[in-house]
Amino acid sequence: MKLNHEEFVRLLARALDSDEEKAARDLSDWVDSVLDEIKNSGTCHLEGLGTFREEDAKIFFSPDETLSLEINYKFAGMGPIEISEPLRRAESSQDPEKTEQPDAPKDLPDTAETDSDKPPAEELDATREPVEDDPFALDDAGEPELEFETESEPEFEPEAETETEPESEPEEGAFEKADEPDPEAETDPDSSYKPLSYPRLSVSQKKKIEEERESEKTPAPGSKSRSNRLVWLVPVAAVLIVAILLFFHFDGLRLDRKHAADPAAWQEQEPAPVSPEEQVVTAQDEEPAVHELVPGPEPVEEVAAEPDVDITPDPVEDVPSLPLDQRIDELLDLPYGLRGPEDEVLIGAYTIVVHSVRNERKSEIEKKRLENRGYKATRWSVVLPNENVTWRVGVGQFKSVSDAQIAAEELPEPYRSNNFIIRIR
Amino acid sequence: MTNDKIAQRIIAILTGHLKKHQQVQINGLGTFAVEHQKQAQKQEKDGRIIITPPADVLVFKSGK
Repeated sequence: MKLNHEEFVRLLARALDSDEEKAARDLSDWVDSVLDEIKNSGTCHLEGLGTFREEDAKIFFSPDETLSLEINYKFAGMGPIEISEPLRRAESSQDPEKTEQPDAPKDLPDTAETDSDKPPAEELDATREPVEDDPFALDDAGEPELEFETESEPEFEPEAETETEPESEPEEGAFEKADEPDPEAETDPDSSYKPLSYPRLSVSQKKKIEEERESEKTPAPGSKSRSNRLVWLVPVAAVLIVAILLFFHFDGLRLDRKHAADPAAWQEQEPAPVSPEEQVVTAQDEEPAVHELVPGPEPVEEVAAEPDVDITPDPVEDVPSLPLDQRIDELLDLPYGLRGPEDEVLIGAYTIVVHSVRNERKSEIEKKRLENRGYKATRWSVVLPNENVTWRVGVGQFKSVSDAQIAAEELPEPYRSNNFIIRIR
Repeated sequence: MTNDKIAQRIIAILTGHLKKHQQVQINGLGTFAVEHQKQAQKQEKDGRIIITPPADVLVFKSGK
């Protein structure tokens, strides 16, 4: 819609309670005063509108910040987003609005460039950094303890084992009785060794300790013997299995030789030998069944060939391996997609904003309308620098901009042609 | 009515229509209009790929 000069004069006349001729004259005077100031000082600032300036005999205009914000209320507070940041899960009550506030650049119109010829968006780098749950942290923390135990084992053998084995409790109690406990005994190995000096113990306690040491030096009846048994049982079992296999193998060879040397003897062993007359009858009725009458070494060969078939492993079907990112997403079960309930807001994901309105009730109605259509709908508010509040409604959560753009094409009109993609942070 | 009040009324009419995204033409000065810039993707000098958000911006075309 366009407001031309004549209509502007008519509106001005109504606002000034005067006729159109006077309003036209007032407007012309105002324009002349602005142009004169631009010509004289190079710039002309008009409060609430903006600043005119002259460069190279051309007049340029910079709008007032408040006016720009009012015009751009739909997209105000949005800044350029980088598409190579990692994803992380958000708190359930967290809104995407927090993300838009810090990124609001003051020079948004200058940075917003339309590069339609640029290549499509690159896939989001989905390397999620496990910051809080680092499985390697425990190993790193436990490593010094292991070193301490191994280094102090020859010197602190009694103390080290009293901490682990309940059997040596009397010994530990003897140490406690002999001397006062050192508070640093558990943390500092050097300081823990000093109060355990033997001259402070009684003679009976010393003897007891020495006896305990000697008894501990001798192998325990349970632990080492069990491990030795396991070590020896495995090869013995393997030898037995090989022997059984060899037995069956040579048994088969022996049968082969026996049948090859004396086929008649094997033939006699048949439970129901067929008479020559029956042979003739069967030969007339059916095809000659030579194998039924005189079985040669062929069945034996078939039996011998069976183990070879069993040895070959069964062919395993090749399962198509998924990309690492996809497997991680499946493991994490991230709620990506355009449709479905909005159970969780993913920080770092992209969403398609389809509504940006100032009326809170209208935004709630639009959100419910989208939810009834089966979309993942999210609503949040953005407080603009002029303290006005804009309510935005987004649909879907996507891993990358490309996914969001593809999903935006699936949206019905007018959402398909009037939407914008932002990143949830 | 003083010139300042006349100027205020002129600016009020002008901004009121611009906030409604309407084009305003004033003879002798130029034309004000609101243009929509779509969101776009571009690469910074340091290699980062960023998405610039859409925006409705006020543009001015001088009449002279």
